[in-house]
Amino acid sequence: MDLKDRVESASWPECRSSRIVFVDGCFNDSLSDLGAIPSSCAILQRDETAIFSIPPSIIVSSPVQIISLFTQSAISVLRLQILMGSNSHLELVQSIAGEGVAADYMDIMIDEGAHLRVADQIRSSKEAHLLRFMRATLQRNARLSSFSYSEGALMLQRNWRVFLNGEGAEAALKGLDDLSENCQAHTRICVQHCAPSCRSRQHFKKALQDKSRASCEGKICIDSTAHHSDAEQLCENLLLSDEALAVVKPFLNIFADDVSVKHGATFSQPSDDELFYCQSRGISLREAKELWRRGFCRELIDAIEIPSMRERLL
Amino acid sequence: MMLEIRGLHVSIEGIPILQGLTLSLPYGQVHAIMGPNGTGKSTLAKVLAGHPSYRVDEGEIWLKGKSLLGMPPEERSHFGLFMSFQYPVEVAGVSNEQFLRHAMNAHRQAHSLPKLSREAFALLLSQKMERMQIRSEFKDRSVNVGFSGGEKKRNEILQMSLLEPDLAILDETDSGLDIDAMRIIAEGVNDLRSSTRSMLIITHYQRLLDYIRPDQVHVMDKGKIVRSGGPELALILEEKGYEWI
Repeated sequence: MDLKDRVESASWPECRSSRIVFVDGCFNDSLSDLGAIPSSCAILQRDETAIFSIPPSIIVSSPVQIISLFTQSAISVLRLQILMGSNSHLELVQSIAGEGVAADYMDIMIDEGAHLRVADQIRSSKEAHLLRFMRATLQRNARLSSFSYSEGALMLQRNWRVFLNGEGAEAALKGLDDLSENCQAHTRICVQHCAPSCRSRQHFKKALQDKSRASCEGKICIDSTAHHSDAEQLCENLLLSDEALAVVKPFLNIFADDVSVKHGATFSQPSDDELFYCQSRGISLREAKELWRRGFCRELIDAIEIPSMRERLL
Repeated sequence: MMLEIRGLHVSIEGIPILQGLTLSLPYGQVHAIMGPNGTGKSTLAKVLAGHPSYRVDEGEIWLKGKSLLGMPPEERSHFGLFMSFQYPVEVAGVSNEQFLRHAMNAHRQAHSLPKLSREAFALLLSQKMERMQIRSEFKDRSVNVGFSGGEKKRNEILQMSLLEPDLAILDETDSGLDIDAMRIIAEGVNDLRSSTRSMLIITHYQRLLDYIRPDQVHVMDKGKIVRSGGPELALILEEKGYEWI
């Protein structure tokens, strides 16, 4: 498949005229389509870093898709900086498809009152190594809502750091890993509450089949000045084979009074009775586990804002 | 005979439950199985449906002349056996419509029939739901999640009406139901009575049998049938209790 075909197959219909394409870490103008992106928004390439900036009070009404293609078998890197001016709004959809070893760094600065929604879908070959780093800094009353979906890779590592620097900032981080064969997905998150009255939510689900592996290391840090912080973290794991492995490590570092912080982890397998119920209706054991997996993933998929992405995953 | 059980011995984790149960159920008949708690009534239902936790140590089970032993649960279902659960399972994230369509198409595939389209199935499901007085919004809700006891049991009978089994086993379908819910469920069950369909109704109480009149009543004790008789046997038990046996 040539690059143009790969871009077309990765494009969401909602983003046909708001598509930014990077090939092996570099912005590719000819494959991109910026028609629906306000002209005041800027896309610059500065050395190895691409910068996408949204000026204050600009509301980008169409979701913008970032398509990142890696074609080389050597290590490929994408560095992207997103600068959200005060009270701006943006919905970003990121599609990652690759082979070999690829890394992407996303540095997000969300100014006062700005809202950013990010959804990413990772569809890579099962032999790929993917490293994903995200750092997000939120000012007063800024909002970040993030959802990441993957089917895993030979090795997928996510490393997210979110700083709630301004009072009233909110971050909602969600992820769904639907793993099979020997795929792995490991997620490390740290949400730092640096200012009072900030709110954070982490919700991750991992469905593991065959010999897949997943881990979730979620840290919540509450600074001494971050009174009235409200933070929750939940990681749910569904194990569909005896050889699948899930590890959850929550960390809480709390240095302020009068905060609400919760964390939880679940590990489940469909019971004999639950599988038997499906089989008693004529559904085979394999299909029953598949129904269970889809049911488990449904909650987070239903919350995806992009209709065609949601439909594709259902 | 629709169902023949001969000298059935069943255990679970080494503990014997059924101890030489023998039963014959002709085509087109409804038999009730009654008995005190712990006598193996639900075990019988689960063993017939093929629950993997139970071990058949001895005996035979024949459905329509074919041995059920060794047949996985889904094949028993394809072959015409349906069990209504005493405690229906919740399947979170899977809608009732999706689950039932999956089950129906699995049956159709087993009989080399083409799958029903979503539209055709939706129409069929609507008709059946209306008959069972189940509100249409339930088709989009996760299977049994948040359903009341009566709604779960009605959902079981809805499944039965869609899958049209030859042998239906109703395991304490009346437990936890109010009178109105019992009436609706009984109507659903009676709609499915025919000369080619048989039913085994497992119940503690005679009241359901006022609505679904059995051809025979069997009483179980200590893992086997100890007494059989006509429908009047249920009335005697209601009056005198199981100790009378």
